[in-house]
Amino acid sequence: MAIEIKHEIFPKDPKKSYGLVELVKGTSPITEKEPETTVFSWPNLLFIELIAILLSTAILIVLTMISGAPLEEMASPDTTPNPMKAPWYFLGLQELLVFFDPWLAGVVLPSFIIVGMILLPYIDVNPKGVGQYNYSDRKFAIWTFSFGLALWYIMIVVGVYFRGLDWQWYWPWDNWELHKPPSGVSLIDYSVILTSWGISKSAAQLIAYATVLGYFVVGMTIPFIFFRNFFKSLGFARYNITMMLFLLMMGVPIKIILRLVFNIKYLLVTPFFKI
Amino acid sequence: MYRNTILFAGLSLLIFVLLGFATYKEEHPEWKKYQQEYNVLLAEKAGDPKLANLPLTIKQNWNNVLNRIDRCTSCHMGISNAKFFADAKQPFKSHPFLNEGEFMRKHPFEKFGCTICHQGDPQGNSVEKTHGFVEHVDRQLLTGIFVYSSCTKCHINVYSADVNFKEAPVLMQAKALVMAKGCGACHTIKQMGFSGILAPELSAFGTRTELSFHLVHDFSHVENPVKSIKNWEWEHFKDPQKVTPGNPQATPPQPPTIMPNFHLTDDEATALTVFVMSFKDKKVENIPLDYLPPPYPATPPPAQAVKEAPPKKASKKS
Repeated sequence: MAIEIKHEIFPKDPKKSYGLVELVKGTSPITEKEPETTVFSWPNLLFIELIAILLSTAILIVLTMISGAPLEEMASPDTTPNPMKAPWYFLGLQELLVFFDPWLAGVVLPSFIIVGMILLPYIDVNPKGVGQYNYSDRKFAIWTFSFGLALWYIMIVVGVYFRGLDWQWYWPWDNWELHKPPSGVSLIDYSVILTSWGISKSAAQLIAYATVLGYFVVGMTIPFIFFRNFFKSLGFARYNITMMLFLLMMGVPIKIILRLVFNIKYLLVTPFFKI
Repeated sequence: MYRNTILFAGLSLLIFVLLGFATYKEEHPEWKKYQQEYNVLLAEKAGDPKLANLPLTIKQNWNNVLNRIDRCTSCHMGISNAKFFADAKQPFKSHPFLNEGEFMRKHPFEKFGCTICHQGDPQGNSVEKTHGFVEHVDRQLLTGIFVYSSCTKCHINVYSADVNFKEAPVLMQAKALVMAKGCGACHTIKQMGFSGILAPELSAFGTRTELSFHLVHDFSHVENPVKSIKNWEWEHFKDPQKVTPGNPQATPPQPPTIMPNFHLTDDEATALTVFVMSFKDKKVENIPLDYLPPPYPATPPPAQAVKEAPPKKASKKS
């Protein structure tokens, strides 16, 4: 049943093969840009990317030719290598295990990294700087991502080059054949430190909870109060997810520093996990 | 834009050349060079020019019973050809003791392969991967006199006092030394019937992997740059106090070794090193039954000694 068209809103010009069909309201990612100020992505962008692909392929081929990937000894149940090192790309995680509860370092944090990566395009809806290199309009995004990446690779470098027998710290000029004496430092839980100051056990546990919760609450409210524009540009849901991931990421180096400087083993001990 | 085109072309060419180079490297491995050389030599010695163009292949001795895959003969082609290659240069030199009446006649390569005695990495096929001390190989290649430490994998009764194992003089020399120095006072060596408890047990010393030895021994006083079991043991025989001086800083503090310095000559130290490396753990070595030889015949005691022995009273002690 054909719909009978009474009148055209945008009558088609008989001399032309195309016509305007409809106008809708909405936003487009590229605003305030005219065809005069833009270029096509092919060949201007994609060609450069193709060259980058070729260059990295060439570098990889050269690397495979000059360095092999030898296997170690056949695995044997009665001989565990020391130090037992994972492949290099896992050594960042293995290094995290020094500072965190294995459930957190091995499962929760990696999951958050992966989930956060997946969420990135949905979180970052900043229309500025699309299609061009732009630092001044995207400072927060660039710095946050670079920080996380640097954290990951610093961990890997530490695991590969600075960890020797018994997972102790070895400088490159040390003798890697000699066992280091076990460190005389004993690590103490935060709540235990609090009880040693004369606070009762349950109160110390409460304070530990309050500390961890307070870190997140304060972290969530500071940008909300002082960087209103940041909050407004993201919206409530995106703001919460972004800040949650950001605070978790910042929590990792903070925990490491607490561990190294104040010898705190766990900030918070719950029956399910330890932070 | 023009610059990008140049880059694109250049990089494409570079990758093409690199791939070509990689293919060339794969097509021209070390062993092919040696095999070609061998074929030319063989053609020369046998007087048959057709032999020089034999196809080049990886030669592999897959021993199902011992579960070993030996590719040594990919380069060591003349190993069983004593007629032509007895005094050729390496890697074509034939195996010693191949002549009539010598012990290699009873150990055919087809049945035993190479690495059952020589250890090392059986599947490597380049000089660098298989010769000398190779990192991450459990049992390093044994060469020269050290191969005798593998005899005892099957010939288990060479340790008894009345057996003179002529084929391995170095073991016999070391056995005499061990009897003379009285190692059994401190060391437990089941093969020899020693049960000392002051010092580490040596009954399975030869079965230890390089890694398991490394984890529990201090190599920092070993002068030899190659940190292998062999070298540690040799230097330890030469001067036990130098290699294991103890470590007062360790927790708990390690006292220096109580092993006396026997002032052994280099030869004696080598013989003893071969000897301790010959103490194998039967369970680990896992030699199948049909490979085990009949017990080595004991040398009968000289007849005079029996006559001169005073008649003993019958006693239940024996």
